[in-house]
Amino acid sequence: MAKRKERPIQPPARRIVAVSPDDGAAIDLKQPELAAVLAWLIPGLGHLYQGRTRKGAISMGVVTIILLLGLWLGSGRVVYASRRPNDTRWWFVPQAGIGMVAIPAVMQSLAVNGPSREPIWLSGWLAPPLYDGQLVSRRYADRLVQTDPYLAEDDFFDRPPYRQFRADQISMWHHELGRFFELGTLYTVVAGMLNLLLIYDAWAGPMHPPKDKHQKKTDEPTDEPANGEPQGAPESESDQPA
Amino acid sequence: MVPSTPLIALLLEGVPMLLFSLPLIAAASYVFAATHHELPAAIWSATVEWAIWLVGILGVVLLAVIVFGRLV
Repeated sequence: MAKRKERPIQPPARRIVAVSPDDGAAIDLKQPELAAVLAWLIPGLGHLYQGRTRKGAISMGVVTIILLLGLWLGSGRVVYASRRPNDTRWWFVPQAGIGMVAIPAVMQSLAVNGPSREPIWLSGWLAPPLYDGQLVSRRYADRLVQTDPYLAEDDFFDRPPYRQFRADQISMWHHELGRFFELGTLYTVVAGMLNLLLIYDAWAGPMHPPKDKHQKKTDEPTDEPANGEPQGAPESESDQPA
Repeated sequence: MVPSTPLIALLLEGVPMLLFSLPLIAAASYVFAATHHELPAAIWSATVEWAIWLVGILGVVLLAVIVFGRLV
């Protein structure tokens, strides 16, 4: 008699929920790690993925408006990745809280300092400023001379196959933008830091209220769904199938 | 100066620096509230509460800076 092959028992699918501090309703976080990555890439996208549409849309609008205002005030020059003597851009650390500007900024920085000596987007968008003695491609130098009124042909030495910059572009930016360089930096930094909070909210749900308030809520009878776990940390799980 | 149109740049130059903090306070108030609540009504009431707190705290700091600036 052939031995019947036993099917392994499937473990219940994990479903991670958080609890709304307002009404005790369960919030389906779906895959919190994926939601956090999406929230990092574009503010509010993690919430939209979780079906928290209204919160996601408003969060996206709020943080994106602050970010765009900052970029506009700083003429798109206040977000750049740079780690070199006399120009280590520490402000980029909080600005990197938003992936949609952090990723292009890092790509631009790597490209400018790479073998091609020119950014991926030749407009110089999110590219670091040129420093004295920096080698750049002829194409990028010509483009800068054409588009930047602060730069002239004389600002570049001929160093075949490259051209060598002989001024300090960050000083030119400060001179051109004045206080708006700092304002733009502040806006983009705040936008990045606020997005870190939204990333946490997408990953773990709303932060818990103070203990006494939470205790009062749990003492009251609520119509909490059966699949809701009392603690909304990502570790909690229920047996509801995905 | 913001190199958009000269008119906008001129207008922005005339805006007191203090007003530039208002969008940041509004955004921060909303995000602080949204990370503590889930229902829209609760988020909006908490946003107002946070805005009052932030304006109060930053206002006191600004006042202290002005007062100490005049004393020194």
